[in-house]
Amino acid sequence: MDYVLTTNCLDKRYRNFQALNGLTMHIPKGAIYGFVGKNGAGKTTLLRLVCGLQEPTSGSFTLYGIRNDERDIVKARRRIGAVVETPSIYPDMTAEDNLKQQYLVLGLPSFEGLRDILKLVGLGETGKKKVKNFSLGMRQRLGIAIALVGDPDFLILDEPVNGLDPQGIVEVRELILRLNRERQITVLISSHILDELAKIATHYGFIDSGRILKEVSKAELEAACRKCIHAEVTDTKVLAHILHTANVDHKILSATSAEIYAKVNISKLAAELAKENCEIFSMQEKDEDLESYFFSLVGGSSYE
Amino acid sequence: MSRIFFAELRRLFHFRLYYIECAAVVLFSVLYFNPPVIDSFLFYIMIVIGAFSAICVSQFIGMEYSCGTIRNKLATGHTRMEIYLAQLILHIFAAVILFHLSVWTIIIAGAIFNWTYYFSVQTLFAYYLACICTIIFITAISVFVSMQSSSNLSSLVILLVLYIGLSMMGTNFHSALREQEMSMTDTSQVENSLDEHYMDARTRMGFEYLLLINPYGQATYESMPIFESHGEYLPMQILKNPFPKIFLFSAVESIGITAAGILSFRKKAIK
Repeated sequence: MDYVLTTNCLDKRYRNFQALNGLTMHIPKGAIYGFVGKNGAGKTTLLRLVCGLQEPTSGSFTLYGIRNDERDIVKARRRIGAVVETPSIYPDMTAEDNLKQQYLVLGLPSFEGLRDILKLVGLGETGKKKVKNFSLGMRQRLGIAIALVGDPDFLILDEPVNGLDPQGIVEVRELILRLNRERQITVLISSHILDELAKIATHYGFIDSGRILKEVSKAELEAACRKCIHAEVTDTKVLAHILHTANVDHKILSATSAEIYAKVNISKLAAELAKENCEIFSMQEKDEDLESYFFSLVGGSSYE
Repeated sequence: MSRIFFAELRRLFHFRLYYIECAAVVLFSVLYFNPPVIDSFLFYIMIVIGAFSAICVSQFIGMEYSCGTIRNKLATGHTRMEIYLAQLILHIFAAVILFHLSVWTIIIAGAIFNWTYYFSVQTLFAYYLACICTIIFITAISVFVSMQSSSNLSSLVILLVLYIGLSMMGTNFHSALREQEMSMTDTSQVENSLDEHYMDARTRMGFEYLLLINPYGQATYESMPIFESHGEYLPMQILKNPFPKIFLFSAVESIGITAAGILSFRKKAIK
């Protein structure tokens, strides 16, 4: 698999605070990678390191196959667009002037495509309105528009829907999906709004205390969060035989536990197991979502 | 680097504060120039340009940090050295424009009001080059402080305090160097005695060097190098012909400050 970004045992220490602690992650090309973690888990720190705003204390990362300590890392960074924390915009300029500024920073020969980018983010009609008079959502979209100048292959968005109203959240979500589908842009989104992330992400990385707890694809997460009955019995071989005979989808987890992925008649199943001298210890309905999956990983019950 | 320079140049032309400074420099030149004394005027215009440079540079670079737009440059693959040098060149350019505005204002005013000046074209050209060197030196300090401090207010305060301190040091050293060896104690008997404030040669050389390594000392010297009100007077008795030294010190110190600034900016964590 082609990876846009991989990190290897990345550490970042600020005086007495270990922000990143041996972080290792892999972002596949073409993915929308949801970077999930509590506040202070180290999400923004990682994005800052990737963007070159800070240097890692130890460890390394590779962007488009180029290590962070190589000279060519600056060339690799030319392929990324980023909105880290707040959108980086000049408040006394119009949206168009802000974009022109970024065109010049990138040394693009003309302002071709500028109107298209503004239209893409829904700011085509802002005219001479100064950015300081924009709403939070408009600023966020302008930040994304600036990140899109120069046709980047990799977009880094730090909490892109933070502080947005429901309409703004939908707009940003649709914009990200469109960029990924139509322009094949790989997107790294850090967020702690899990419901939103669940609607767009194709891959997830769960971070806590500066380290990645787990990386999963959407399919793997869906499988892990699949609605099922978790059964604890004395012998799963017997259970498996009964379920197989009844053509019920299931998964044996161990000699005593299994998951059943279909509706079953519990009384009938219990009776058949009893016939084979197989006792039931417990049967629980399991219905996990991204949020409960995350909490099961970090071992908490609420956001800090 | 040229890409950032041109992007920032475009931003400078959108920067209202700079236009206000340009207008203020023209106004100051018309009001304060007292022909034909061009020398002391040069000192005042250097003070004004230093203060304006502190205000403009601290606000311009401070905005990069406060708006986070410096991240757009770093995240798109520009090195920190490119960013630093582009800012330095831009602000030298901006300060030199301010200086020329002042010079052209007094030239045009001189042509209109038929002013006459003391100096030959050659001397004026030496002044001109020395002033440009001092401007580069002052701007290098302004850019250094503003790039290290992420807050435009703290940069402004640091720079203004620094420039006030340096200009006070410059004028004090200059005054000390102007002390006459002999002073007239009794005018009726025309009897002269040794001035107790007059320095020995070694101290004098130290003071002359201290005057020339300070940008505002340079400005003070540029303002009153040759003439006192009553005739010829040379404050530089040991370092004869100090103009080449002004160029040398300005260049060496500007390069040193810029190198230190780049090294420090490379390690700076940007939020």
